[in-house]
Order: sequence, then C-alpha cells, then structure tokens
Amino acid sequence: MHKLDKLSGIREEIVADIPIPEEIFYFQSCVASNKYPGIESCTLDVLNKLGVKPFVSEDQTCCGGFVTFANVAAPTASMPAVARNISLAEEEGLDICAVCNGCWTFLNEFGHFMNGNDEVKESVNMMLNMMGREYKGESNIFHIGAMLYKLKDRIAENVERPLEGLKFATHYGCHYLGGGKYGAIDDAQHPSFIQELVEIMGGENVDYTASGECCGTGFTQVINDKEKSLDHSQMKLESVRDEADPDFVIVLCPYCLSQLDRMQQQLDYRRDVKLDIPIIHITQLAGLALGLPKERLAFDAHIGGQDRFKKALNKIGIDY
Amino acid sequence: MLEKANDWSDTFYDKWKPIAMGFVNGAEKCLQCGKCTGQCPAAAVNPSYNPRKIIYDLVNGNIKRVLSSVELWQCFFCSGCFATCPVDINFPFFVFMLRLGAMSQGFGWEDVKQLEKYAEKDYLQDGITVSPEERNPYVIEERGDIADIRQKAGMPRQREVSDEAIAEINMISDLSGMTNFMKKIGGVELYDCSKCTPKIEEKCKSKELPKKVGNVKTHYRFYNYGVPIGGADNA
Repeated sequence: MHKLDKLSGIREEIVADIPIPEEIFYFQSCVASNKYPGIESCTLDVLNKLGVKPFVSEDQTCCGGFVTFANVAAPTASMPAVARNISLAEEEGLDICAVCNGCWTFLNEFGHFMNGNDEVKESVNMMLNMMGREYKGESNIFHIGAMLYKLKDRIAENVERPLEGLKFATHYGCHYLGGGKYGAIDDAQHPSFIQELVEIMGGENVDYTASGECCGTGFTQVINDKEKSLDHSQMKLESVRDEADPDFVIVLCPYCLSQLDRMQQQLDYRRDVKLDIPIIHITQLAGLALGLPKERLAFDAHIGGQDRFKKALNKIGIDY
Repeated sequence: MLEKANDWSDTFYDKWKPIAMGFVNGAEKCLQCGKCTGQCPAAAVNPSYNPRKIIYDLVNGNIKRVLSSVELWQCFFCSGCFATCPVDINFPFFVFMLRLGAMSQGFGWEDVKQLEKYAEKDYLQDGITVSPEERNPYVIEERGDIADIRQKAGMPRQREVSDEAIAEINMISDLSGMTNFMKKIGGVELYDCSKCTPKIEEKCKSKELPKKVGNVKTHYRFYNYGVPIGGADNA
C-alpha cells in the first residue's frame, strides 16, 4: 500500500465546512431499499450510534436521476422533482445525507443550477406552489462517505469489533469524486479517505490496478448494451481477484454495489469466470466495526462471494 | 425546448447553447488533448467511441455526424472525462443534451424505449425507480425474497412512499410534458430484418431495430467514428 500521508488529496477545507448536526435528513436510495436493505439499516444504526439522528420521510421519492439520464425525462421534468425532494428537508430545517453517488450528484448538480439561475427557480416554484411546497435552496447535500469521514473521531471511539486480519480493497465510484469534483472531499484521481477509515477500524488496505475504473454499469449501458457492460465489469473484477484478493471490496454507491455483485453471477453463468468477491457498502463497513448484529448488516441480500463472506465474518467473530 | 435543434447549420452549437439551459457550455475551450478519451471506460470496450472527436465535430458544425452516430449512445456517464479535463468541460452533460437533440432528429428512440418502462412502471407508480421484483431466477432461488431479508433486519417488508408523494410526482410529470412524451413512445413495432440490405446490415447495430417507436419514426444510426471492433481484449 502507498504511504497515505504522501498521497492524500483530501480537501481539508471542504471537510471543515461539513457541520456535525444533531439530526439529518436521510435520503433513501432505490437500490439500497429494494435490493440491498443492509445499506439502509446500517445507515440508520451507524448514524444513531455516532450521535446523529436520521430523519426518514415517506414523502421522499427517487431522485429521478435514472429516468433523466435515460432521456425519458427532460431536465424541465426532473428539475421540479429534485426541488420537491430537497424542499422536504427544508421544511424540517435539515441538511440532506445521501448514501448513493447518483443521488448526491443529481441533487447537488441540479440544486446548484437552480440556486444560480433565478428564472429556472421561479418556474420550478410555480409548479411546486401548486402542491403547497416551495424550494428555497437552503439545505446542503452531503454524501454519507463524507459524513463518516467527518465523524472519524467518533468512529474511532466507538469501534466495538476491530477488523483485524481482514483485507479491504476500495471502489470509489464515478459520480461522487468525478461528477462532483469541486464538491467532493477527496481528489478524483487519487482518493484515500476510505483507506483512512479502514485503518481507523483496524483493517488492512490492499490496492489493485483498476481501482479507479468505472464499475461497468454505464448508467443505462447495462440494459442497452449488456455485453460491453459485462466486458468492463469482468476486467475490473479480475483485477480485484488476481491482484488484491481482498476479503471485502468497499463501495460508496449502491448502484456500483449492485453491478459488481450481480455481474459475478452473470459472468459465471455466461462466460465461466469464477469470482468470489464480497462487495459491501461503506455504511456496512462502519456497521461491521461498530458491532451491529448480522441481521442488521443483511449480507444475505448479496449474491457474489458468499463463501468468502462466511470465512471473513467468522474471522472477526460473527457466526455467519 | 428542442424545436430549435432542427437547424443543422455550422452555427448549431451557438444557437443550441441557450436551449440546453446553461448546463453545457465551454465546448469551444476544448484543447483536443484527448485525456477524456484516454481514460474513458466506454472507449475501452468500444474503440470507435471517441469523446474528443465528438466535441471537435460539435464545435466545428459537423453536427449531423454526431447526432446520427451509434457512438453517441455508448457513453457510460461516468464523468471521468469531466474529472480529468484540464478546461473543465462537462462532457457527460453534452452527451445528455446531444441525445435529446438526436431524438428530435429521430435517432435513438429504440434505446430510450427500452428504458421508458422504468419511468412508467416504477418511478411514476411506486416513486422508486428500482423495483424489489427480481427477474433473475438464480437470485430468487439462492437469496429468497428481499422482503424477508428486510423483515429479518427489523424493517417493514417494503419501503413505502406515501400516496401524496406519488400523486405529486405524477403531477410534475403531467405538467412538464413527461407524460405526453412517454405516451408518444408507447408502442413499439419491430423492424422487419428480412428486408434489410447488405449495405445497411454492415453498419446496423447487432440487435433488431424497431422502425417505429410509438408515434415516432426512428432512423438508422451509423458507426460514424470508425469500425466497431474490440471488446473484452481491449479493456
């Protein structure tokens, strides 16, 4: 592993600007709720353990990023939907915490655009006023990864289950560091904040060549051009298997998790490529270290790497 | 918003910038350094896909080549090009807006049609774009019902979005014209491949092309940026 202090591109000024609130609006992600419920339960528990109360609203819908970038909704259609979701947090006077890179970029990008463009904001509000809401542009949007990094001291105090003897590889995903390169807490080319969190929790970091590559979903390519999407995921996952051989790969984005996890079975079925790599979300990593029970971690929902899950979890004393 | 995109003259980019609502600008700053293409995951698996060339054509008015290409629809939206770009061109947004432009010219509707169901059946009905329903039989057999896993974790069996919220996003969809748009691509008639000529076949995308998507006619798209070779070996 590289010397972290030398390579670190973490932007301390952005980290310093993140407040530590008593309560935060937890922005639910589609994939986390409906495919990997462990992300949802771990986020709630981890935030609670670290002294930040998550606020969950049933009025919150999907961020609308997928339908927009699938070109089904023009920006004129998704802008009010974004404003509506942000206005829910504004009513409570809370900042937003997103667990998904896509949600984060989409809310951030479109939110910023409306804030800097009064004409658009006005027309969006015209629509929202009809349903009794208003977008003011007051809530900030933070990624859960940034929140956890900000709360790293509290994590260090609360580690109940040190991750000794486990190897972790990372996949940061595209839309947090790349898409939001001025709002993210770390450098897009040489990120290191997850590695720092892993060290705090007592784990060991391993590196591999394709760590900066896209997971291969390609947003809609996994539906429109599946073979090409598989090509890319195969390259990435083989690099993980051959070079790093980690116990867990940590991702920041549920959509990346879904791709890297589910494509393992697809690659086995279609191309006879054997992979056994557990992929987990950063909140599940925090959940592991903070001693959450295995039901709340919900690794049952993961498809790839179940044998490896068993071995690794037994090592740190979880009967899986 | 897209009517004005019908103009295919060499001043297309200037005229089209304000239409794109200020999301995309600065294409003329492009240095043609090619860093975007070098790091591009889509270019790794589709060697004919080339962001640098697309920007070059956009700025120099060769817009027809961009809009009628298959390559325009191969972008992964990973934003790696934006992250690495020395002059901060947000290329993924260009692709996004160019795809809307291509659709106004009748290209690429078959791809959009494949994705429309996620908006219609999931986003607008449940308020969640990814449905809990599992299509892969292997996953159902191995992992069981996701609702059971949620219950074991002490959560409600299904994430609920309130009826009010769903009514509100439907209202937004109606008011902003998204519903109308989806009605337009309602039904698909598949193109009869037996009528295909060898010349078209050579350039055709490998899967069946619907000729008509709902009320919209789709045109053939072409590999305008080179021969589509490569694949896993090039990745």
